[in-house]
Amino acid sequence: MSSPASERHLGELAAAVTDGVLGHQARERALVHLAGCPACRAEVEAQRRLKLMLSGLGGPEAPMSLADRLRAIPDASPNHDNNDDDDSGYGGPAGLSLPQVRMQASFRDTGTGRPSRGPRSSRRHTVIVGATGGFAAFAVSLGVVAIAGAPEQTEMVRPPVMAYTVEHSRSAGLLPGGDPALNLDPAAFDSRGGR
Amino acid sequence: MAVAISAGVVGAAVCAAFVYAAGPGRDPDDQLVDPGSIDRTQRALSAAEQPAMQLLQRAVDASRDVFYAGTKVLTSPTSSAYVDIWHVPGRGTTSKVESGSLDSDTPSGQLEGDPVDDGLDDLVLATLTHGYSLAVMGDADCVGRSTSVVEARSLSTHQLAAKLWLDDATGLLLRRQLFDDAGHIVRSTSYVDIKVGSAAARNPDSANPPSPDGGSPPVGKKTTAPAMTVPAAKLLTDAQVSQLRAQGWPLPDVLPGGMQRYEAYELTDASGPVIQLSFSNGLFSSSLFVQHGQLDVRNLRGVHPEQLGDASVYASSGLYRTLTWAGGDTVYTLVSDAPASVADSAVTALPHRAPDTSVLGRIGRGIARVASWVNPFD
Repeated sequence: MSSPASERHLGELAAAVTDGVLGHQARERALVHLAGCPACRAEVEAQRRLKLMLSGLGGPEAPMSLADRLRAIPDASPNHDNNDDDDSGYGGPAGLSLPQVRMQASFRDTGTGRPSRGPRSSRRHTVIVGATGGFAAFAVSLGVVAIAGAPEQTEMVRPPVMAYTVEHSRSAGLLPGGDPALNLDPAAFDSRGGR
Repeated sequence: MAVAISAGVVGAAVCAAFVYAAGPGRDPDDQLVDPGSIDRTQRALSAAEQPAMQLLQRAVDASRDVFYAGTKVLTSPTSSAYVDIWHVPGRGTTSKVESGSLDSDTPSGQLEGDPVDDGLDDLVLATLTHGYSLAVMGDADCVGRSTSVVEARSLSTHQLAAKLWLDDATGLLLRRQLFDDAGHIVRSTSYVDIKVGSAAARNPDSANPPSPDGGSPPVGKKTTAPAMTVPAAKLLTDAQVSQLRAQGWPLPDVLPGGMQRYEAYELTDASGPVIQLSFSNGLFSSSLFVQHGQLDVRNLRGVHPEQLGDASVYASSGLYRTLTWAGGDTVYTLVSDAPASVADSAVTALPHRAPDTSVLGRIGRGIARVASWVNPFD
């Protein structure tokens, strides 16, 4: 149940009238009321003046040293640090995430006027150089052992199989009960299918 | 930069260690690890075996002391040969291939010195007892002569391994049959005609045997020179074999099938020294020829490529089973009258992998060599 005073004046609706957010019918009823109520008309007029005054005020100026530091940050992108996803909504004019701003704020200006290189870039450079040198050393080492491991050059041998068969026959012929030594003619051997 | 290169060398060493551990280039079977040892002792024979052993010992003596002449036929599953034989005590034995699958237009023969009693017979008979049991099975006629039949059976399988017909009058071995594990005859030697004593000299079919009095062969009988160049052989003692083994020669004393080395020779060949090792298990015999070098398979005559397990060999089968293969930087040639399964098993028992010439092989071998350079204990 509403009080009789609230029925006679706009009350909190005065701010809505000032911001222009009322619907069409509510706005018509409010305007009818304002035509007949000097107190409410004065309230709405006061709020409009206050709004105009606030909108006319400018934003705060950032210090130049802060701007220099921000420009010195390489590859500043919120996507580079997945752990900072929750802070992406804090992006400022340079698009920095909040932790990156905190990190940059801890740097000391060397006063040389030249932007300093970050430790991540330096570390990456060291890794690349190390990997290249290591690979070269690895390749040289493998080359050395491969050369050292070349098969020894030994004489090519073609066993005289038939002569060895005769030798075996002679040796076996000495055994008790052994077969007699046979001097097999290689021509005869070849004629029966020797290759 | 120095740190980076050091890290690279360390990384290379670690990777090389993995390659070396993988083993492709180590050629682990370049050298024979265990040559085995020769057992010269005879197994204690049972009472039933004693008569058979006495007959065999008599046959050994008779093969030296009896003057005989005759014709033998040698058969294997794929080959046969007729051979004329004369034996003169104190002079030796002459043989001549007469006919058969080994026949040639120019019969060849050679005079073998009479074997001397240097313990070889005892070693072979002792080796026979290691793998076989002996028994006299009865009497039988062979080429018109009365003989005693001796059987040898495998001690492990009791399978018949050999039947021997021994002349009752002279003790000579007149007939021999050798069997494989399946009971099939793999080799047979039998006289089809034989004369002994003075009758041998009067035998018209062997009219020109070497003179029993030790003189030269009669005119008209030609003992032809060998039809091929047979390297001169120098008998090696056991100590010399051990010395060669210490110098890196992979020389086994035993081979599969109960084979024991009974002799060793050094041959002089155009390609360098060749070591011949002669093996026997009392029934079968094998000769292993070992020489350093790489196997040259071009124009390798008389053999054809075969695959035995993981070994690539060049082989032939006939009166003898012949196998040639490479193991490391050594070439082996085996000639054997044993069953093919016994002869082939020698290949897997010996080094049988050629040097690994792949990149990994070279790296692995190189690592081993570099490690040997810096190893003070190597």
